[in-house]
Amino acid sequence: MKKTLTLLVLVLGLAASAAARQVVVSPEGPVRTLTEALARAGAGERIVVRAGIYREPTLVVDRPLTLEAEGEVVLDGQGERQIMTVTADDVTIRGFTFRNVGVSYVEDRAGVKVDGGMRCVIENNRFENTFFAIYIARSAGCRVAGNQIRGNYTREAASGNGIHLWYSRDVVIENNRIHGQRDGIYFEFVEDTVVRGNESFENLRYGLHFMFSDRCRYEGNTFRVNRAGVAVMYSRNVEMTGNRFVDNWGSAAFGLLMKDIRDSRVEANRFVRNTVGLYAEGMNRTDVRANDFVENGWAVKILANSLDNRFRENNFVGNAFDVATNSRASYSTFTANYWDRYEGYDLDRDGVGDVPFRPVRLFSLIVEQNEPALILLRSFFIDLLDAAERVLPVLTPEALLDEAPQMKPYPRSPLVAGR
Amino acid sequence: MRRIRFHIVLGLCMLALSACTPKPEPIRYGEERGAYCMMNIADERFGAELVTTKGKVYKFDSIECLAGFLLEERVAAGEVHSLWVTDFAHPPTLIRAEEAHFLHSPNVHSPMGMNLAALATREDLAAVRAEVGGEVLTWDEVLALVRQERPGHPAHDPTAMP
Repeated sequence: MKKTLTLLVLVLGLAASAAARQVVVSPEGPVRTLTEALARAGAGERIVVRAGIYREPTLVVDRPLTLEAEGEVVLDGQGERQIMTVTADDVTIRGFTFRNVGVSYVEDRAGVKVDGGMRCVIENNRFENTFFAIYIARSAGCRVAGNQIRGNYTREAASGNGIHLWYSRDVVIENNRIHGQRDGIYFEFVEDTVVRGNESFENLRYGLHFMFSDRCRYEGNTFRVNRAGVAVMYSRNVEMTGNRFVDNWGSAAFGLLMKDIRDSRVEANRFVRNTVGLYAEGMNRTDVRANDFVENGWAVKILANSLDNRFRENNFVGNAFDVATNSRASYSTFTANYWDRYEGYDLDRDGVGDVPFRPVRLFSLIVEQNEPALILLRSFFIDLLDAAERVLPVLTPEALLDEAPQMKPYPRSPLVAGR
Repeated sequence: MRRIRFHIVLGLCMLALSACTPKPEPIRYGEERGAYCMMNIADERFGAELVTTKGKVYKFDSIECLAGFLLEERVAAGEVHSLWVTDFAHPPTLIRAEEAHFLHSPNVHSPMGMNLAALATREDLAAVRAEVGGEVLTWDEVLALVRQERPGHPAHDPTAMP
């Protein structure tokens, strides 16, 4: 009993002292600028900022601090400078609106730039017209969550990335909403990082972009109306599960673009209405399992320099082309997928078609050579050509076939299904 | 009458001539894809082009991709008409690669990770270098660098990792 009481007193005392160590910034108070508050605050203290618009020189956070907005707090860069630079560990930034960072050709300016700070938390902020919104370099253990990021690349051809990570690891990026940037989320030399539950759309280039970033995972995100939903390049061991790639439509647009990547996993994703659902060039030893490819121009385009990939248990429904490739050779396997174009039969009623399915249409090879031929897509002549090729394949890849095509589509959990 | 006809003929001739003259064309940023590494060309500070003698234009998202494409001889050496890179200080102006000054700096983050920027004048070069640092290269030195480390496989700096 006595012990508990001591503990209670101790805890209360701690809480009281923590509450006491707090600096309040407000337009009418004794401390009117964040600059002053930052100069005053000791390590580990809390700075509370009351509603108002603050126009100050770039704020430098060089001690462990918690910065919290109370009400609508706007930090305005006036179309010029970077708004906040964090160089210390254990800094938390919560609830602010960052606005108007100027475009620079030489510097990567941002709303918040963390350089070398461990365990930062950037939570529930808004970023409007901030060139780069959140820029994290040489940092680890950070958490970026619940931020709203809105760029305006339409006006500025030079636009930065929404959440930009460079030489960082062990970062969690979740539940952010990003649009109108160059890339929604960008990784260069990033390791062991998780991207979860974000919505990234209408970006100039990619929704999410990996360069040279190994052992990362992204799950349950939505990528729509980007040049490519996600581009994974020059990376290894990337896990991609339960994402939606939707309406990435237009010339040179993709749901998921994979280039020079290996030992990865694409599972339980939905690819809907993309020009190309999944594009693979130099993709090796990767599992593509239990995905839905619905109403894409090309569901899968896989170039012959892709080796040892396994496509299993996917649904292919309503695509103009299911699989396209650029060679008669194929070094990947397709088994037990559902193809709505399959016209075979199932005499033994085991749910598996009795004749193999060849997902590469002859016509897709013609289009590959000569794009304008696409105009013939729905013509009778092309149907005839495809039928002839099915009976006697002479041009389509011989080895690219599904020996066990499913008679019925795989049912999916409600999490993955839906638009 | 004859004079009008002459003008029309002259006009047509000039049109025909201009149609065949190989020259660079503006890059539609955000819409076009690089011919070497498939990236969408989005950063107007780093765009580059190769123009063939027949007037075909290949576009790239970075200087290193143009160099990589050239070194792999995806276009035969005899068919290369001209090489163009973007003036980092005045994008999206294109300048001749052979006449440009190049800056190789860890603080210039070019799209394929090789940290290269091009500048038209010595003054701009000095100004940018004062801000970001780095070493100055000629076009031949850029080619040598790219021959060493291919774009997309840049030398990784392990000390930069936390």
